[in-house]
Amino acid sequence: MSTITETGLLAGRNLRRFAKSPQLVADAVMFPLILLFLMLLVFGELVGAATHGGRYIDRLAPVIVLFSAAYGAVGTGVGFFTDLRSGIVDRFRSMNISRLSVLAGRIVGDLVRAVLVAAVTTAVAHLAGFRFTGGPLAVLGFFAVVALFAWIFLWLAVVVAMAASSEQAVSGALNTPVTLLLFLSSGFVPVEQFPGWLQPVVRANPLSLAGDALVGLSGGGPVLLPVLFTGAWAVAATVILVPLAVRLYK
Amino acid sequence: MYGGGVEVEHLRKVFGRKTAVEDVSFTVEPGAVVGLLGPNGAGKTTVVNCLSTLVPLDGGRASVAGHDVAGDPAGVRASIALTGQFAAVDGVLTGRQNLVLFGRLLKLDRRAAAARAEELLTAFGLGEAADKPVASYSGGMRRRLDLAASLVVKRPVIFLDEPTTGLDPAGRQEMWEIVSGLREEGATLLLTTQYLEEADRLADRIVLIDHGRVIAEGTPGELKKRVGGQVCEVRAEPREQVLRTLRERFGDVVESGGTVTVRGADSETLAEVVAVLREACVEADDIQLRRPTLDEVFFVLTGRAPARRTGEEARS
Repeated sequence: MSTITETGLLAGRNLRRFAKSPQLVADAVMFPLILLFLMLLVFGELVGAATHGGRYIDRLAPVIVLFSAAYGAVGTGVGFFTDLRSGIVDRFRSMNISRLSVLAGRIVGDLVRAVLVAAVTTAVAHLAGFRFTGGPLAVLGFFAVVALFAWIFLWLAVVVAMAASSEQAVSGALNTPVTLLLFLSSGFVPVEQFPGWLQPVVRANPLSLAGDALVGLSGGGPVLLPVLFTGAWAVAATVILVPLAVRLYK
Repeated sequence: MYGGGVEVEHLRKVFGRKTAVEDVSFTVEPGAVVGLLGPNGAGKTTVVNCLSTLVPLDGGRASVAGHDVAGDPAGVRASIALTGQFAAVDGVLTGRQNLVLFGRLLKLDRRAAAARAEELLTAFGLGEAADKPVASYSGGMRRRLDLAASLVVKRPVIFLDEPTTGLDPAGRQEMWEIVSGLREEGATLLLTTQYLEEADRLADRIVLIDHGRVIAEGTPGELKKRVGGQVCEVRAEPREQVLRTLRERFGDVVESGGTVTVRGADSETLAEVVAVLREACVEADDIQLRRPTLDEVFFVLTGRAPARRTGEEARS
C-alpha cells in the first residue's frame, strides 16, 4: 500500500518538474508537431497518391503520436540520469521507502506525461483533419496503445540512464534508435515503398505495429493483430528490461 | 529511540580493483559527534555510503542504532538522516515543495508535512525563499535545505558527508551553527570533512583516515598531543638570523609564512627562546606557545599535507 502512495508522490514530483520546465514542455510538444506539419506538407500528396486514395493524415498522425511518446523517453532517460547524479536518488535510497517506488514513480509519472502529450498532439492533428470514427471505446483503446508503446521506451530509457556515463551518452543512445524507428516505420511511407530486404524490419518495427493499431482504432481497419503484436513487444521489453532495470538500480 | 550509536568493525569496501576502505573500525557513542577526517579520496564517503546502506560492505560489519547494516538495512534506513556531499534536493521545485515531498514520503500526512516544512524553513533561515525554485538558491541555502530535508522526520543518527565543502565562509559559519544546534539536541552525528578546523570545532572525537585506512583516532586534544607537546611560534626579524640562532639551540625548528616554529615545546622552551633571542639582540614582534594545529598533526601522521580550501586561508 505504501509503495503505491510513494510511487504516486514521486510520479507527482516528475510531472510537476515537467510542467515547471517550459523548455521541456515546448520540446516534448513542439517537435512532434513540427514534424507532423512538415511531413504533411512535404510528403502529403506524394504518399497520398501511393496509398490508393487513403488520407495521409490518418496514417501520419498516429505515427507522430507514437513518436512523441518514444521521443519523450529521451527526456525520461536524461531526467533519471540527472536524478542519479545529483544525489537525490541516493537520498531516496537512504530513506525507508520501498526502493522500487523510485523506479515506479519515474515510469508512472512519465507514462502519464506521454499520454498527456499524446492527447495534445492528437488534438492538433484533429485541426489538420485527423478524426476518430470508432466511438469512445476506440479512443480509450487508442491511448491505451500509446501507453503500452511508451512503456517499452520508458524502461529502455531508465536502463540506458543507469548504464550511461554522461548525459550526452544517454540522449545519444536513445535519440538514434528512436529516430531510426521513426524513419523505418510504415507511418511516413507505406511498407511497399521500402526496398524488399528492408520490409521485414519495417513490418516488425514496434512503431509500425503500434501505428497500425492506432490507425485501426481511429479510422478503422484491423486492430486485433497489430495490438497483439504491440503487446508482444511490450511483454518482451518487460521481461528483458524491467529485471535489468531493477538489478541495475539495486 | 534506539539504543546504540554507530559501530564499525573492520569495514572493507572494494570497487573493482581499487580497495576504497580497508579495515576501518570506529565507534560513535549515542549522542556523540565523530568527525571522519581525511583528504579527498580517503574513503570517507564510501564509509558513509556503506553505513547508510547505499552500497553493500565487502567485509567486516557495521551497525547503526542497533541495526546491522547488512542484516537489517530497512531498520538502518528508518534510523538515519543522510546529508550527502551534493545537495540532493530537486532544483525545479521550491524549497517548500521539496520538504513537503520528503515529509510525505516519510509518511507524514499532508498537514503534518506542511507544518514541518514551515518549521524547518524558518529554523534554517529559508523562510523568505521558501516558495522560490531551489535553482535560484545560493550554495549555502541549498545545503541548508538539503540538511533540512534530511531532518524532516527526526532520526537518532545523522550522517553529514562534507557539509561545508564548496561553501563560502559565511555559508560555512551558518552550517556550523546548525550542526552545533543538532549536537546540543543530542543527535548522534557522524561528520566527514577534509577540513581540520571543522573537525576540531564540531567533533568530540576524530577518526583520521587516509587511503582507506584509519591512521589515528582520538579527541582533537589527544591527536594534537601525539605530535608531541606544544609549539613555540616566533615572529621576528631578521628571520634568517632567528632561524639560525634557534636551530643551534633546539632540535626541531621550521620556518613558514614568516613564522619560526619550535616543535616539541613547553613553557620552559618559551623562556629559553626569549633568553636566546635576547642574547642575539633580536627583538621579537611576537612569541607564543600554542598547541599544534590539526594540519601539523596530519602532516606528522601521514607525511603529507592535508587537502586545503582553495582561494582563502581557512586556518585560524
